Amino acid sequence: MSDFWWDVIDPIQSVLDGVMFGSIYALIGIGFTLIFGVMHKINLAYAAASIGGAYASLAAFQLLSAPALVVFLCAAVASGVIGYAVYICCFRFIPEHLPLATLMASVGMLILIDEVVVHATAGMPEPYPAMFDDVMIDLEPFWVRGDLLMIFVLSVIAMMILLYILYRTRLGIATRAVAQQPAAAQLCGIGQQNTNAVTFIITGALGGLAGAMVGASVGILSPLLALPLTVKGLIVTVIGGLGSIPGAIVAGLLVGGFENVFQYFRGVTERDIYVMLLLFVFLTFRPQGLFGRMSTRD
Amino acid sequence: MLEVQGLVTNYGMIEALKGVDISAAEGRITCVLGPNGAGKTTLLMTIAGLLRPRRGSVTFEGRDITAASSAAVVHQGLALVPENRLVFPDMTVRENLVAGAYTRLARNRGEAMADLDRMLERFPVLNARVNANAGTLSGGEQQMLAVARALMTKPRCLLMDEPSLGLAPLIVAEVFNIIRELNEDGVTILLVEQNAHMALTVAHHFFLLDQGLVAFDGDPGAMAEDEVIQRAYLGSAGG
Repeated sequence: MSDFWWDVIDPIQSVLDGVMFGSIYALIGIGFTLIFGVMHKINLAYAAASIGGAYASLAAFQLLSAPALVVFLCAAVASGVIGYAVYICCFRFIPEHLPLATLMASVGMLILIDEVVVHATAGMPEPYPAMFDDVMIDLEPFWVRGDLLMIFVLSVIAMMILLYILYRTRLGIATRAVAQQPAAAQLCGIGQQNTNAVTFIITGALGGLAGAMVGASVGILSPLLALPLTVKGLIVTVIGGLGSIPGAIVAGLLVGGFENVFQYFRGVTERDIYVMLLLFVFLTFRPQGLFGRMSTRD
Repeated sequence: MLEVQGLVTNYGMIEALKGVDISAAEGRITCVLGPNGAGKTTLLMTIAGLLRPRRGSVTFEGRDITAASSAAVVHQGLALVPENRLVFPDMTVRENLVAGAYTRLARNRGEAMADLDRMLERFPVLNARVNANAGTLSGGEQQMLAVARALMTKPRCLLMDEPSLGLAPLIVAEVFNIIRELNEDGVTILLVEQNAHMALTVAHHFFLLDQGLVAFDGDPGAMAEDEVIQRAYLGSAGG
């Protein structure tokens, strides 16, 4: 093979790894975007709740030494519960015409969840179970890391379940109806508050899975993961277009591949500079995002 | 069948209804006329449970529904076709109708689905575009869809908020034909309109709402003779 070929193999490899890891960003982005779609509000506590759920699932790991997959499911359930609590505390009782109040309430919740985690673990990182982390699949000339492949597959399954719920069930009809035309949804007898609450639980579960997979891929859980994940999730949401699920998926994979290739070329310390640059380019040239519309509110 | 007494509702900071008494008799078409800002839409939204009244009561078939949620009102058999139709734009025509049957899906899915097929038969325009997104429909088609969606809740009384708004005259005539047919099928109708001429062709009873108060209450004969209504709504040449 030519020298050129050897030069591009490694960057391509890092893009592949990044895209697979980016499926986690896609999940977090979907969470942000779905809540925005239904309530037209941003839940800034979302990524912190996801990490919080992953921490809660550590109990299953440390006390029961449950297998990794069970721990992941526990994380999803725990984050679903936290999601509901966030809804009740920060969204349910704050009047609709005060979006800033809900935003600040969710910031408070982000800090609260973060602090609870820090105090419960004395701020020390905790080992988190991984799956297939010793597997390497050889696809000459590339390698597929077993743990990344598992993350990707689990994310795709979670997304398919979500899309099934949204497009094939009564609950999905209610969710989309409330998102598109809240007044008309009420006239159809769809309870807006119930639908909002269920949306928080579902996106919470999705985030819990994402948080668990972050822990699994790094091998440890740290409270320091919450803020970067929040930022990445918001970037993915903006690049994908607020309210667009396909947008969040594509943008998640894009950001994942993009950051990893820059990590390969410029190192982990400079990586996020380029991600911010990507966000900047989007905000300047395509502020509505990949799949967004210029104006969705009527 | 539907009794509204002394209804006072604020819309934002404004007192939009200042003590409104109206009623809709069973099996009849009752029409509420009035200029923009008279409180017509506020009235329907209060009845449907989207707005909370400050005072007064709404009674439907002898049951007090004043403080009921919109879902509870739908459950009682009262449906509102909202102003500007408010279809779900990114859902297909079929999904819009399924959403209309939302409260019935959990209890009797089979019956709701059979009703959906019947609804598509009744509205061939919708059947032709059953898998199109509702946002791509024309204004007239969206109005049909909004009516069909409300009918999917199986209402005994249908509230309609300016169904002729923004539609071509030919389509308006079609919409009023459907209103008449629905009424012949036994659905009580409370219609809010600005198009007094069209309303005169179908309604059995009229109310005139002006600045949050009822200014006229009578049958079509009395209305056609009322001088104020003559000048304001039917043109000086008369109906």
